[in-house]
Amino acid sequence: MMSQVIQHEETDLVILGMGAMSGTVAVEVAKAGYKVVGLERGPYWDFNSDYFYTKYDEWGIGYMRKFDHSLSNSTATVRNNRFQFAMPVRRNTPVGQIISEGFGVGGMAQHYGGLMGRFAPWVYKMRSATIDRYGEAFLEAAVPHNDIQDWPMTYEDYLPYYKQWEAMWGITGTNQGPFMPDSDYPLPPPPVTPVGALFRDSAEALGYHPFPTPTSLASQPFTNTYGEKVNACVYDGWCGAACNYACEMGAKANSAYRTVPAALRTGNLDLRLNCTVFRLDTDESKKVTAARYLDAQGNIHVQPGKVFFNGLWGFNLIRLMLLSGIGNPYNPASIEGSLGRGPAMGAGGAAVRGVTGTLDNVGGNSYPAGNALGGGYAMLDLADDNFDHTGLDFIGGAYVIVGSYLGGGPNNFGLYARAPSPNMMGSAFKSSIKDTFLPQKLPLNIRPNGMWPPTTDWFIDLDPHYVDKYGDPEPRLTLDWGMNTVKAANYLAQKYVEILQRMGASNVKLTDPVLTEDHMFAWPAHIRGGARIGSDPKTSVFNKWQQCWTSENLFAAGEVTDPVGDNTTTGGTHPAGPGSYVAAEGIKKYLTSPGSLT
Amino acid sequence: MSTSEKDEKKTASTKKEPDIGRRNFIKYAGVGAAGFAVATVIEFPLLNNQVQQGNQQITELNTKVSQLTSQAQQSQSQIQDLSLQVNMDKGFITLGFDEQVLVEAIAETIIPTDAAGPGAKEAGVIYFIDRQLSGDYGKNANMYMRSPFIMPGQSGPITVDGITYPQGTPPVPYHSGTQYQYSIPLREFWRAGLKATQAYSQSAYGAKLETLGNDQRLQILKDLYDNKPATFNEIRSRDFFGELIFMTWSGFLMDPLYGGNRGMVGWKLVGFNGTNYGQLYGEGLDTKNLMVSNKPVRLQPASLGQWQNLVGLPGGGQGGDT
Repeated sequence: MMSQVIQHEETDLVILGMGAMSGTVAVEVAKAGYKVVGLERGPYWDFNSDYFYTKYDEWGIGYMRKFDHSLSNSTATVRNNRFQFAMPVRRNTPVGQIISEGFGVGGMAQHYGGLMGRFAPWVYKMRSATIDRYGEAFLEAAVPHNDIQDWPMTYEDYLPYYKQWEAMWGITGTNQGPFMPDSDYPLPPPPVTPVGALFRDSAEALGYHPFPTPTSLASQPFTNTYGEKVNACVYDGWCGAACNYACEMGAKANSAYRTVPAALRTGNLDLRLNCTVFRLDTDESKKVTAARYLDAQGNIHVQPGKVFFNGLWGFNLIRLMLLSGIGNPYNPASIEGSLGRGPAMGAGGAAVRGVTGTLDNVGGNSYPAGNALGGGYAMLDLADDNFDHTGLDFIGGAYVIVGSYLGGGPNNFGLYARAPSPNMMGSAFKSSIKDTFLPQKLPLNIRPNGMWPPTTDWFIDLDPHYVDKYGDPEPRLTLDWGMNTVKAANYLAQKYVEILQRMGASNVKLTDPVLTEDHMFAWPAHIRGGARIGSDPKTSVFNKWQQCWTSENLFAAGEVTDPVGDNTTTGGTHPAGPGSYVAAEGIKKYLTSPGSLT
Repeated sequence: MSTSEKDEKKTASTKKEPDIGRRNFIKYAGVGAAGFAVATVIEFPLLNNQVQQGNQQITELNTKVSQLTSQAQQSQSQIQDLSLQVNMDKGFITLGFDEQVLVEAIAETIIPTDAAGPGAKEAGVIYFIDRQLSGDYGKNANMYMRSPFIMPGQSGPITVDGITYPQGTPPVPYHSGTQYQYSIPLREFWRAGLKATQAYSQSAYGAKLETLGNDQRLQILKDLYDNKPATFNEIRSRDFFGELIFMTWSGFLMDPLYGGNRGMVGWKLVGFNGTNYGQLYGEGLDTKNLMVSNKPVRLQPASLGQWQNLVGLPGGGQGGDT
């Protein structure tokens, strides 16, 4: 049968991709009585059958990526500046540059580590607060060409949305200490590891304010906001880390087991699987009229809607808008335009510099826990502007997390395959990895997630050479770390030395500073920003309601709308979560009374 | 067929065939003994006694012969089963004979059998590599394989499709997702790499790598990392070295389901528990306790297949060779 064009009836809301953010929007809008169509390119994984039975497989998951999007369909290209040719990421290797895009309902949260924690008040006014305290010259010197923008709302504005998100997602932890006001989380922390307890006591003795590391792994069974019954974590360790294991208990939060089932129960969500969105159609006023997608048989579907929610991840969201002629593409030469502007890296500065040491009296079992750095303690005393930067040459800082075991669970890759070298041959190396999972002495390796603010030199656009399997241009990432990341990491590493010494570690050493060739380590996973929310349509794509400035019936949420692209605290899902509730509220407002929301 | 079904069938066949054999022996023995007995039974009682004794001996011998025959047949059927198993576990799908010898020698050099325990040889690393090279890995099934193919490490300016890039290609971390920019499948990359490695061994030491001592083998592998061998034309030897290390250690430490890590010798070395979290063999341990304990507890590891057999969930759990 020939493929054909299938025209659908108009619906109220069309959701592109069924990941973490989309789930919130789907359930909130469907519960309000509106008709919703959800388009997902992958399957609906059944954690009980698919994960419980076959997930204990480091090779299949960590390297062959059996639960992921295949790079044979599409990839991204990467480079450090716009004068270089961008190389396509051709394969997933344990060294990084893994494009672990979401595939299936639940999206990327199917295989994230589950590390949680809010952004603190400072993050929402990073630009103005830094200029107020240290002056504009300080900011420009610390981050040359910086492109940091204040968020359109404050921490206090986001607080009710945070609470909604946390009750639905199921965040564990007590609270985040004095730097994070009103942060009591709904679930108790997981059991504390011996090294977590040691860090807590040592940090407290040094005058810091440690708290149990927040996670999205249910520490006890609970029922969430929408009546979803959630199993507790079993602490088997087959969790996040480098291998991105999916959760066989459904304890690690994602939309497939927190929001989408409730949305389906309303009878208002029409969920279509194996459907790949490739274009948005627009009218003269640039309002979106329909989403075009391919089904499993190659038929092209046209799905009209009153409102559209772009829940695709990171560069895929930007790419779809660029391919559809929506928004103002960023031009790095003239520093004009907003779409693709201001991407940065979460968690990436971790490779810059760290501290190693050995704890002689704390051994243990490296295989359980591991999840989301659970069982550990964290502190914010060396993050954000929580210490005086006068006389320093960088802004921000980093979250310190200690307590989970190295690598976290089954991560044999971590032992040997990060960067093959001639040292990995022969009897000496073989002896050195004996009983790695049963350490008598615990090796510690702490690295600051060095602060990585966006600059006007970095952007996301369409690659001029490479196309996906349908013939559409691939996204191209132009991104590097700047000196702020390096300088912050160097400073923080010195502070970590004090902490490790206080913990009684022996052989405490700074690791070598980063090498040039490591610049592209670990990205494009954890890309943040690139399609920001903001108060100024010139530098942002979406307003504070997560509504597109140029196409008023298009909304979006996720790390990709983060205007500071920072990684001061945590993984990106927790601080992105409130945006999904803001978007859901905005969409409901728009459906009642269309127009640009204020 | 399940294991128990197979056992049943095996027992039935070993019973049946010796029955036929025993009947034949009894038939021939009966004819001889009866004829002799008819001629001697009246006139020579002494002799008759001897005949009876002889007959008894014949019967005993016949029984022994039939027992031996039965044993031989049983052994033969066991040998057949065993040889089938050997073929299933140790056959090669894609590695040619010369390649097998060379890959085995390289793997044993990277992970030797030594005082610390079994190495690549006992783990069957070569079978892991063979199966990967013949599957998705060797065929680049999950890789992005569209042109243009531009090798990294070009300082620039370079021009691609009419666009000039003054700074060439970006720095690429070793063995990262952007390093492999070859247009060929990894199977062919390995074929070229193995041939060039052997040619280098011949040119540097005048002998094949597998005939050299450990130090010389290690030196050859280090030279690959340093891009020294001039015998590499189609691919870069440093890229090939990365693949050798990556795949050899993977064959040692990944689940036995993929053909390597036999007897879970790799996991036993690193103290990894596999799929056993302290309850699979009835230990009655609790992950929460193991997590908060600072005393290492060595668990008997289990593989994914063992775990599936032991938990026996619906939709699987039978295992075996059905």
